[in-house]
Amino acid sequence: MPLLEARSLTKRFGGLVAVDGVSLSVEPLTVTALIGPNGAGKTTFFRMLAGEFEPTSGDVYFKGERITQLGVTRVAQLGIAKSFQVTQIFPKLSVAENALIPALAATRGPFKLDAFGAVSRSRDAHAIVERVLTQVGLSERRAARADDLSYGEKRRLELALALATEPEVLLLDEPSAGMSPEETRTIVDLLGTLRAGVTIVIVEHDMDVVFGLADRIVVLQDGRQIAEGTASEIRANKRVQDAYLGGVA
Amino acid sequence: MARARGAIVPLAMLVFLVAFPTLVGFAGGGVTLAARILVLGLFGLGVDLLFGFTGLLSFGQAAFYGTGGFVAGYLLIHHIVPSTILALAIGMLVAAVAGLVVGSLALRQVGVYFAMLTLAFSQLFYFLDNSPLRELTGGENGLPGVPRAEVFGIHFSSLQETYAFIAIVYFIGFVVMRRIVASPFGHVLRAILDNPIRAAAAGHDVYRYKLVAFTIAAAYAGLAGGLLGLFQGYLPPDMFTIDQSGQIIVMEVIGGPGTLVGPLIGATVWIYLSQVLQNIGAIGSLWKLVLGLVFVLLITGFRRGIAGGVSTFLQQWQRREPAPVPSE
Repeated sequence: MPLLEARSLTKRFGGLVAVDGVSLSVEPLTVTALIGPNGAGKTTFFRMLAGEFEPTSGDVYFKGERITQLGVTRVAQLGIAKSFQVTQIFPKLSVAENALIPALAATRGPFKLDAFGAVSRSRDAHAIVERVLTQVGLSERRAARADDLSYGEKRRLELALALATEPEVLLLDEPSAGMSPEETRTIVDLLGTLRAGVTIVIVEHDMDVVFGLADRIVVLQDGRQIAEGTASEIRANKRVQDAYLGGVA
Repeated sequence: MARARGAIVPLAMLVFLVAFPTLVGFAGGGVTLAARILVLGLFGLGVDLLFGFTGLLSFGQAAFYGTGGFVAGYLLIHHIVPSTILALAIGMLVAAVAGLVVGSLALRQVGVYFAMLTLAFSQLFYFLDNSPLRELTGGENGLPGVPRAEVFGIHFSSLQETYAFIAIVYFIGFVVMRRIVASPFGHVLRAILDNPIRAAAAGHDVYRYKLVAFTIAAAYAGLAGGLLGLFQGYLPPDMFTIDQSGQIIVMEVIGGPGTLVGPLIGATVWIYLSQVLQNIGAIGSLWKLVLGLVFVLLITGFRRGIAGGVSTFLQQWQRREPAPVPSE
């Protein structure tokens, strides 16, 4: 049984069909990449997987259960985390406090009225914070205000926030967007170590990242799926070359 | 050591509360003025949780202030409940339930639409107070004859004793609120203030956290309303007005959102300025204009209110001169 499955998802915005009947089946502990030119519908498709958008038609299944209308909070609680294409951090909180927020969601559930509890007693949550900050290499910056981080550090914090929910599925929307080649390399190395413990679906423009990581690649164009296969199959696909790769591969 | 340091702020607050009537006295005010400021400071603690910690701007807090005040006052005036504490607790509870109902509807919207809904609900409460419930509330005459506090046979009959009673309640309210904002629950509220989209994506049920914050704020407003009756002996219908809701927001903003002591500072500044300005002959009837100008200056000068401005200044001063800071 696939861990995460999308069955002919369609999303219309008025007259515009952003995603048109796209299906996807993700097996546990695999890396699936979603590629395609700008405006192909990758981010919209992702937002439907994460429960941020309700699809116009079609359904999303997680471990065989339909999660289509659950909404982002419950989808996150089930174990699907998404990193945002445009960084969404808590700018006024410190780096450690940033990571603590999703860690509290992972350890306390969607709501808990522990208004007289002490944060210092949330040992499990603090253990998660330590682990994810080490993973993304921000332990040294733990006391810094998130707003004061460099762009590359903010992107790593973005990833840490997704990891701190302790997800089974990690949806990464262009994790290397706007990063320097060295910073991209760090991210790729990190994802290489993470893949042993978490299922990854990634939207990415950097073809080195895609071909280096992905077990399977799905190609979208104008909201439709035009190809699916392994890295070598996609490289050899004539349609993909015409549509997207433009002779790069 | 950490425990000892955690007790510094409550201790400082205790000292302040004891000294406050004397300080107000030096500045030409009476103990009534000090009590009024504390009542607004308690009301403002809830507003601070809502606005300063969760980012929810409500223009309808007067509804809960009035509800708590009139329920507690009515019970005491008609000797339905013999105990002051019980009457205050019932007033607070009724205000909290009202907050839960209003919040559950208003929080379905965000931003300006949420603010407008709270305004609309508070108008509804104002109308209820003045028309259908006037037999109970006295309508535009208000409710006179609220007796002074009595707890376990101890009578808080003089103004000074009433101040002491209000100060004790304020202190408990302050310590409880400090605890709330430092809890995991409070951390999630701060996350919602900073980035509600991410807080939801992290797996927090943002609506329920906001609803509980709204309910707690309503409970604080209701308790403060009950205390107002105790020292004034009279509950005015203008507790329910938009003017009252607006004033508490202004006190919160000039005092410093997210600082807990901000509303107390804001209330002190507000009440002093309005009293002092009214007594200056040359200003006379223009006092509200001058008050408005002072607030414009304060708000533009201190982006995080007076309390926020002072703490920023202290941090910068410490950073610039590390030498005089004693080693630990």
